[in-house]
Amino acid sequence: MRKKRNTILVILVSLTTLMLFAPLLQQNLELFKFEGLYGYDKPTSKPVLSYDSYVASAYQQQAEKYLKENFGFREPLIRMYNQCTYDWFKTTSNNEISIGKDGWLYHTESALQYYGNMESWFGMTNSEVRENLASKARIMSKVNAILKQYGVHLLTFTLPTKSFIYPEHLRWQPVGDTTFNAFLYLEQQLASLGVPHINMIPWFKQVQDTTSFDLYYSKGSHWAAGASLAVDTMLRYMEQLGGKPLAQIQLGHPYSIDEIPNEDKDLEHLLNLAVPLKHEPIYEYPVNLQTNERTVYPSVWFVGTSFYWYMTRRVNFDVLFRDRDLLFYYSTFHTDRERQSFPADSLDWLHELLVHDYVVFFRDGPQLYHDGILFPGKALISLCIGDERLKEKTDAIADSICDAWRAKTHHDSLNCYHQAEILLQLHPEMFEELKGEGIPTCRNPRIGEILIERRIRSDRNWSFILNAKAINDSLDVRDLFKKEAHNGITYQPFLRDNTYFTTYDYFDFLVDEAILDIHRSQAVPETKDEVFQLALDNIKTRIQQHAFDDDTLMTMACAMDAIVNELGKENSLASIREKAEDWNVSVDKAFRMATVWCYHHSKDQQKNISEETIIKALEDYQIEHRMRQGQESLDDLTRKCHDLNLPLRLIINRNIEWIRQTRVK
Amino acid sequence: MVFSSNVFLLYFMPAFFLVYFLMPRKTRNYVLLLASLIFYAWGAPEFIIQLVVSTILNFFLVKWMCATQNTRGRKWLCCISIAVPLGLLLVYKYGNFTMENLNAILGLTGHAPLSWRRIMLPIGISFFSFQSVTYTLDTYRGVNQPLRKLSDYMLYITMFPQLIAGPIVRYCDVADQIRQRESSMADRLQGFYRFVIGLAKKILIADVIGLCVDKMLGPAALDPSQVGDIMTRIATLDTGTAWLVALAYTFQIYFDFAGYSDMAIGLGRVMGFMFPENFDNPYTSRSITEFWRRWHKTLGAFIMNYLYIPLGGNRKGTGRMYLNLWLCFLLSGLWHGAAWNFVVWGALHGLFICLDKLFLGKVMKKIGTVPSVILTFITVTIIWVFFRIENIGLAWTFVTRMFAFDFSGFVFNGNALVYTTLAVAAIFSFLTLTGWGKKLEKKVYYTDYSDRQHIWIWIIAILVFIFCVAALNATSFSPFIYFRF
Repeated sequence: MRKKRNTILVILVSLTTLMLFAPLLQQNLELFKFEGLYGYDKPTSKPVLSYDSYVASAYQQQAEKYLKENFGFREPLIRMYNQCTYDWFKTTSNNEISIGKDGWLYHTESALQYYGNMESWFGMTNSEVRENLASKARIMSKVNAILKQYGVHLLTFTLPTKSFIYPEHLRWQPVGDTTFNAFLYLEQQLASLGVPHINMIPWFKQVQDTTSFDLYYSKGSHWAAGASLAVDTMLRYMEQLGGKPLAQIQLGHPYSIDEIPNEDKDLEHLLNLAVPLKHEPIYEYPVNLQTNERTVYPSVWFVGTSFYWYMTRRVNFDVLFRDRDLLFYYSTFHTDRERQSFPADSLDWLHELLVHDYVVFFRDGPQLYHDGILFPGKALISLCIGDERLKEKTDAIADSICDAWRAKTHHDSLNCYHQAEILLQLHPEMFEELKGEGIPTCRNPRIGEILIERRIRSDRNWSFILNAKAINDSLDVRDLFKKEAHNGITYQPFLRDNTYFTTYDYFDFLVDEAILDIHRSQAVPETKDEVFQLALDNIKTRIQQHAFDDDTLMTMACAMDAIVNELGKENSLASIREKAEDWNVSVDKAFRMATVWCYHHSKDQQKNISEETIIKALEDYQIEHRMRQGQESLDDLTRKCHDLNLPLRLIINRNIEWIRQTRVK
Repeated sequence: MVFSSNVFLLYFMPAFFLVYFLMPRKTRNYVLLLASLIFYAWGAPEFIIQLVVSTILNFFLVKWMCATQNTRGRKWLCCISIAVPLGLLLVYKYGNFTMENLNAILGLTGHAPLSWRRIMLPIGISFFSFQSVTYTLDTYRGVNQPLRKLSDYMLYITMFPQLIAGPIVRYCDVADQIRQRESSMADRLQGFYRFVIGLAKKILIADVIGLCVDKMLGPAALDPSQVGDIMTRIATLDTGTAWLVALAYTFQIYFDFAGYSDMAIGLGRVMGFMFPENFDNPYTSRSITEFWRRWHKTLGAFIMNYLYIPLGGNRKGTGRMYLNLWLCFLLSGLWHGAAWNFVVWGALHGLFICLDKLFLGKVMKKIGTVPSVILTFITVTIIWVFFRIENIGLAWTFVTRMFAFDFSGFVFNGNALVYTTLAVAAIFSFLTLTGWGKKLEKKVYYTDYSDRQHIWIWIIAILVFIFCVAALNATSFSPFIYFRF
């Protein structure tokens, strides 16, 4: 009996030991795979032990933080706890989220702002916020006046956050009109100074009162159907500002989507629950864009937040704007239809302010409380102060900050410099020449060159050539524009007069442009044949207009033809496999080599380009393009390629062929 | 390193126990000593040398004292041996306090302040200093023989389960266990259960309530620049909120401290040590005197044996007894922290103890159990305000708000989780007032379980442990939607 009892206790002690070691084993051996946790948090780097770091306890602190972020079973444990507290108490440990009624989630900042007291969050009293906003509005009016002088229109709007449109789902009672509202206050200030500004809240509320669906998704922080409304409003205001007709947006009858896109569930994700929440359908407006021969496609610089992506997801900005860039917060710059993005540290603000037709600055409410509105100060300095003067002033302020901090190390000097930059952006009146109520008369000396660049950008053909050259030669198109502007100001030969194109990427670009033209054309094609005919005409026109090397297009089309016809065959594939073995390379690599051979072979044959070939190439391109747009179908193909041990290219080509055959049938 | 941290729960503790139980019995004390030094060195690397040196010095002083035949010499050596740890305690814990007050006096009298460098407080110094004192005095009084091996003495002083926050283990309580102890499988399991109970008290109750208290009152040690803000907040508190905050803190401190003691006792039991109990349902006390018999019992015992009795206790007349009592509690307050609020806290407790002796104790007995428990609890709750709020002015304002009877705006920022936790804390605090509550406590803490009970309790303990680790990590994980720029 005693032996049996002892055995049970030994088993329990052993199991306890095993359980205590389980996280350590999981951490090192990754026995189970778990979905990562959502949200951004600065990860702690692995600590490095040194005598100094140990004695100062820095090593220990970092190690504790590092282990806290990396121990085994962290994800399921956190999810489990969050699920329990959510289900039992409707609470979350994430301060960013405020759980409302009826399953609604809010961004805490936005909820607090609705209640008119952000002091506990940002440490600014309402009177301090008023003073700050009034000062920013004054700077904004100066920026607006200067931009106007150069034909650039400034438009600002504060994003109507969910709490203002749907306060009834917040945990506490909705507030009355007397509560301090930073939106409204800024709007009043801007209106009194004549700065174009849109207040979307009344409009959204009006729409909300007359519709049965929600403009915002209950478990996300961004707008859903509201995004399309916002673009429409913004476009109308821009048209009014610029006095030129822009594309028209027609919103159809809203339809529901049951499968909620991940991006719309950002607040739910931040809860990091173990079981997904029950979802209601999300609503969208069908968007129909209308253009005519008088339609103008402006170039726009957006300075804003993630709400931008939710607009572009619903309305095709490519069709609306000739060119559009985004400065995301003040962190990353997204340009060239989001093909490129880079850190905004090196961004030339003067350039961006002047090469576009419109500058649209938008912010959500809580950002009105802190340094989210650095934009006016930075814009004013960029427009009025030369680079040397700016550096000199920043250095002087950085030195005084360093002296105050008594910081002499390299790291601290950098920090001082950064602080000085921020200080100047918040208080541009620290420059003598920017003081006073009037519009500053000084200007940045680089303005001339940028205005030339703007002219080049607005010339469609010129711009097209430089874009294509950038793709052809793998260069940054922004650099090419700058170089071309420099050529203009220094009387050097222009790049556009000395440019040839010969690559696959260019073909891609050409097709992109052709499709965009079709979208923008007055007569929207209704049949597939019409689409191809229009694209074909467009490509031919381009070839004629620019005297391009049409050999490129021909060889490209032939190569695609050859790939589909020749390499897709089983015996060709067998031969490629053999070659792969002979050359000791992967099948994929051998396939690529065969493709290159095909390309050159077709080129050598000097085939004449036929319309049929181009149509086929275009059709293939479109099928593949759609295939790649749908992530799931691409995933299927990737899986198939693993299952059959075939290169992805071949599987795609086979699929294209199959789709084409199905269509023919 | 604290017990309620990932480093301890998931790395240090498993690794230590594995090595400890794999090693032969004779070497286990060395393993424990090494682990304890690592444990201390992790959290307070700059003080490990002081700890080791002072411990070695004290060991040899006591050894020398025991070897000395001359009574006077023994007395002197005993005094020196006590002066070493107490001297360190005075310098490290009260150095800053003394200088700040001296400079304040100098400032008032128009003299220039003395310059001094702020001294960091070595973690756990209040506890290991007292343990050194008990060793010296117990051996001096002949209660126990001195330890022969330095390593055993160092182990007694630095043993990690009770090094940081007690219980204050008197030498006589563990002298034999240090030399020889047994830990059966049942001990190990029951030690683990006790540890989990402590962990749950700390993480699932004290920390949850503590977050709310901190939001209302700011951090315990206020920066002078924060006093104005907190004062504004406290001065406008409504009475309901003020009482709720005070109650929340009352439960927070109990579950925090009692949880830590449970963890220490549990860890000790796994290794075969039987540490003394530190808490015995203090909020069910019917008077402040009884409260001190149930709250931080090991400190109470220390003060009784090593301060109150040497001061004369009740042997030198009634007046002296009251003075001794009051002095003991005043010093006990100062022991909790080097600030005037702790002195006030200790003085108030001392005052109520004296009043108990004078008449209050009799009144409390007459009015019955429930009213006396309620009155004592309310008194303790009010006095805790002075313990929590370092600035006496702020603390006094807070107490006045508790009696302002202003119910204009309830601003306690609790949620369903906090209110539920408060309710659970209240239930567990007063559970033993009922007969079945007492039975339950006895069953959980002091009964040898059958196999079937072991299996069930083990499953519950494991689930609670996992939940505690989850809570520990989830509550501090608050990611952003996007990077903040």
